[in-house]
Amino acid sequence: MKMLKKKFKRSIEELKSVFRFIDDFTQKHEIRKSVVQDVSLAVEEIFTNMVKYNPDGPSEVEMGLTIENNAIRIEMTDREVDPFDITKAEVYDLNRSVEDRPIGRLGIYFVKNVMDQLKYDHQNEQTVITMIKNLGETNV
Amino acid sequence: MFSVTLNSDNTINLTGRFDASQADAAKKEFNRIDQSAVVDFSGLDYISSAGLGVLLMTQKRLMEKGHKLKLVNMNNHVREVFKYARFDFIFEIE
Repeated sequence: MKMLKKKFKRSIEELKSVFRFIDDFTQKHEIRKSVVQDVSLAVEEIFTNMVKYNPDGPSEVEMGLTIENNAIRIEMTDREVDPFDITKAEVYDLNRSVEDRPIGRLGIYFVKNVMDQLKYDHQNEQTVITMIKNLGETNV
Repeated sequence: MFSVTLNSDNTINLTGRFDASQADAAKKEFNRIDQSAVVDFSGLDYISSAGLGVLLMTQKRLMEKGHKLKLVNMNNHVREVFKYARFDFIFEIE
């Protein structure tokens, strides 16, 4: 299946359009709600990181969605950006007490937990983050 | 659509999707809470790390004064997100 792609403005306010893109795609392919919620969560965390850590990036953030091998494959692309390999990001310490818990930094941890595969690629100032979520046996 | 409603009986109702685009507005509302309160999640469909951050910040502030938030009526997805983050050890969840 050809990957469906869309570009989004570099703004947190664009999340509404990002979710609509996911919802339209997943409804068309009758993907079950729990998978859609995990995909939405992972995409939000990656999208907000791309907006937050590359605020002056001249290009829009691109998202691609496709279904292959009974899994949904999501590609998030950012251009003219410094490398940051999220697969090697510092592990969030879940055992800290409430006083010592940082307010942020949970996002990448969520992505790693809700997705079945996470890949990072950086070439020529372009970062592509690929996430794969298995659809399971009953896709209803 | 997301909304936070502070009620006079120290309960708070959340509805819609609590994502990063709603965090700043939600923070303003949660900053108005100055004593123990019950947060009703029955109308909340979705939460991300941005939403958890607002709740954690509020819990930390309240605990310094001997107060806390109690969270009730979460759907399965929201409950899973709290479990992933081990926030079920930080908040009383019913």
